[in-house]
Amino acid sequence: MKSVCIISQQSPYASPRAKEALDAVLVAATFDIPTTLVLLGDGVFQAIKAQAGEKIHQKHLGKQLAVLPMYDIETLYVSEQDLACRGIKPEQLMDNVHVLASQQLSHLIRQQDIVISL
Amino acid sequence: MILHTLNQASEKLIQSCSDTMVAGDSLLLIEEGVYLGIQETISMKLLAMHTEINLYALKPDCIARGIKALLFPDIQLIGYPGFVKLCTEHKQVISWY
Repeated sequence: MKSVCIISQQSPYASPRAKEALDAVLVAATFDIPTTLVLLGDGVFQAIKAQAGEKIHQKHLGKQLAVLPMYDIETLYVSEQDLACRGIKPEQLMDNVHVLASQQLSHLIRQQDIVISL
Repeated sequence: MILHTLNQASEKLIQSCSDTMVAGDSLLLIEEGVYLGIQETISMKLLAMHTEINLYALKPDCIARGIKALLFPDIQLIGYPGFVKLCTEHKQVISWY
């Protein structure tokens, strides 16, 4: 079974792209494909704990990310550098989020068989 | 060995891309991304720090935008067949868009 890495680089509510990346992750996980989700760039905004998407009549994306462990996706990864330059601290993120330096992330991505950036 | 394709003239995007690149990777600028290949831009200086990156730009996009003569000298211009070839030569492709 090939492993899949989904890279999501979009903030959560401006466009459907973040949601689509999450859908792709869930679909892959449903088929028992080893799946890794990496949030880069503005994608790090998806991992903020205090989201309330319902205020703008959208699904709460953070809550959906939080249930990923139920699909055997124990960790999602965010870039330390991308967090820092957007003024977000790791403690402001959800519990199942792993903060990694760019170099480690780059290494992690290279270990996967298939990389899809959404 | 990753092929990175970048299609917007965005400093933020090239920063993310640059953070993810390692020696031996290739970067192909396409569509609006070719503007980042202009020699005088900050992004080009950023990439110049990456000494062992193969730099490419898609020729039709550069010509269409009239910037072929302004590009950083290390950038190789390639056409669509070259684009396909690059995709087949790399294990993974990351699109920055």
